[in-house]
Amino acid sequence: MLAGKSLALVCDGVNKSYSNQTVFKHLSVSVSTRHLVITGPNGCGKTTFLRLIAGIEGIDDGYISWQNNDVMSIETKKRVGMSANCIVFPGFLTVRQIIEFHCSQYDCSFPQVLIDQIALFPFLGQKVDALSLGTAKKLSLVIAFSHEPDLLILDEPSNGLDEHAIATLKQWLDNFNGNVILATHDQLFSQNLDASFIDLSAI
Amino acid sequence: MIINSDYWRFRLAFYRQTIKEMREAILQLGVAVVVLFQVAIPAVFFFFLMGLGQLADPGASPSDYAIWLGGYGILMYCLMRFQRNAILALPIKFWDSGLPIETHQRIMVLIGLCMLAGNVFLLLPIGLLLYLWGTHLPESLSFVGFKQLWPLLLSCFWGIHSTIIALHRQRFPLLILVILPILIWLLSLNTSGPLWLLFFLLGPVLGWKGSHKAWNVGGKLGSFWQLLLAYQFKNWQSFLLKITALILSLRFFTTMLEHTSFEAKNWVVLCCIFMSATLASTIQFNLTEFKQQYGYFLSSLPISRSSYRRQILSFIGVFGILFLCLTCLAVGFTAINIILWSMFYVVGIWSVDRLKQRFFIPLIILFCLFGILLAQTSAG
Repeated sequence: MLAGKSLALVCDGVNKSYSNQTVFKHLSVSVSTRHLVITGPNGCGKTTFLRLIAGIEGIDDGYISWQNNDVMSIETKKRVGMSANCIVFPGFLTVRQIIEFHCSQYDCSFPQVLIDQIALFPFLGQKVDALSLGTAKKLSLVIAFSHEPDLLILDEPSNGLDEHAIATLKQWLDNFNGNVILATHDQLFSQNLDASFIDLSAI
Repeated sequence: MIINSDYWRFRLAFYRQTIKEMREAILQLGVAVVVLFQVAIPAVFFFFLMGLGQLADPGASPSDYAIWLGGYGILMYCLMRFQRNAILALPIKFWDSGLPIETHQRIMVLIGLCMLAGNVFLLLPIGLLLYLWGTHLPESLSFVGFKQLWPLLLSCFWGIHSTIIALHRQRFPLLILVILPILIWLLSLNTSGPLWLLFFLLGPVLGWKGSHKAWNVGGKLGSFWQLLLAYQFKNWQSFLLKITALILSLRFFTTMLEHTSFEAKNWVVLCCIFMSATLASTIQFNLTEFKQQYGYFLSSLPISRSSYRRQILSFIGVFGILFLCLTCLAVGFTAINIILWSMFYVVGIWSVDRLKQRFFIPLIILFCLFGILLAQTSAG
């Protein structure tokens, strides 16, 4: 990976609960390395934590910032790319329509190179609802990378991917110059990162 | 051939449970809509019985048959489409496909469930045809007998065909269920003999030709409102149901207006405003569902909350204008009526958003308030 800025992620007194479950209570985390790897057993709140950092879900109390930017602001969102299974794309659109829509929202060009590299091209005309797990993951990754974000948030990025796609993703990550926040059980992705590790179950 | 009774019981239980959940969901839509449907169901049933009686009349013209068959096809399609998930067990289809059940057992169970779901609308023509064949066997095999039973035979065929396309086709078969019957009706005007009805046999051919084309929202989507529009296109059944219910109720209100006294007209208009605006405001259910289904995706987009609200409100506005225009065209609103309609619509949208299934409560309160005002004005 190329050298880049520090992640400067600050979570201060974060509370998050759903109607019948408290996920985080007074969670405080500060990360100064370039990348962050979140670990922990299933159900410990990794995906929820990623959603809060990406600003796609509000917190009940506290504050989260990335490089001194409020993660909920629109300007910050434009600089974030996220790939996670919890983000369900409108299944009634085709892969091409979703990517075009994404590009129109993020003011970026159609990511033809990424699509070719990860072998998503044959599926451009297919409805998102009809995609297999692996192809849906490829689409999610293309969308996360397409607007050249400064912060990548990846939740189990290798889930369902074939060997070629995993190698492509590794290459993309190697060439990526921004910050990466990763939740994975796959050590292949985390072992070479200049990253802090947080075990959510221990917090 | 013996039906696998355990599998039949399982699929029957699934069918009943799904229908029960759907019925509860409909009931929760509100008293006003439920009342409308409760009135509509016996009306549809009587229309069906009257039409079936007409088929037995040898003096009926082919154009009458064509109209009846066209209406019957749409009725069967809607009835079966509504129960599609329950009949085919779609929510559990992969698990169900993995069960070690023979294909012929599956087909028999499916036929049984279709009969159950089609109820009298499917069983009555088939039963009547079998009864007539059974009781008039020698005559029915002759050319004259066959000619007399032909419309009924065609009804059974059309009912079964509409059932099959309701269960297996993704998009609404406009060509088969609407355009084809209209064409046959036009061709058979001022003619005698059931020859033109043979064109109904083209239905499966047209269905086969178009079966590979899935509903597609074409074009590039650049804005959030286009995404909303595409979602509405995807849920065309819901839109079609709203528009159909609106047109039916407007027809009802225009007839009432023609036959009521001047004093009673204001009451009819108030009822019409209430009905039309309530129906239109149920669009908020679709928007809420859209938001729930794709919540994280929408949150990940770099769209400010104000822009998001603006686009949603514009969409609601355009949809409301469509309903208002249709209502105005049918009933002929005054400026005050338009203001009243808008008020009901805004309250309806707000209450669906906040009160969900209890949304009709504020609307009924508003209706009562204006009813009292109207009564006082009339008395004064």
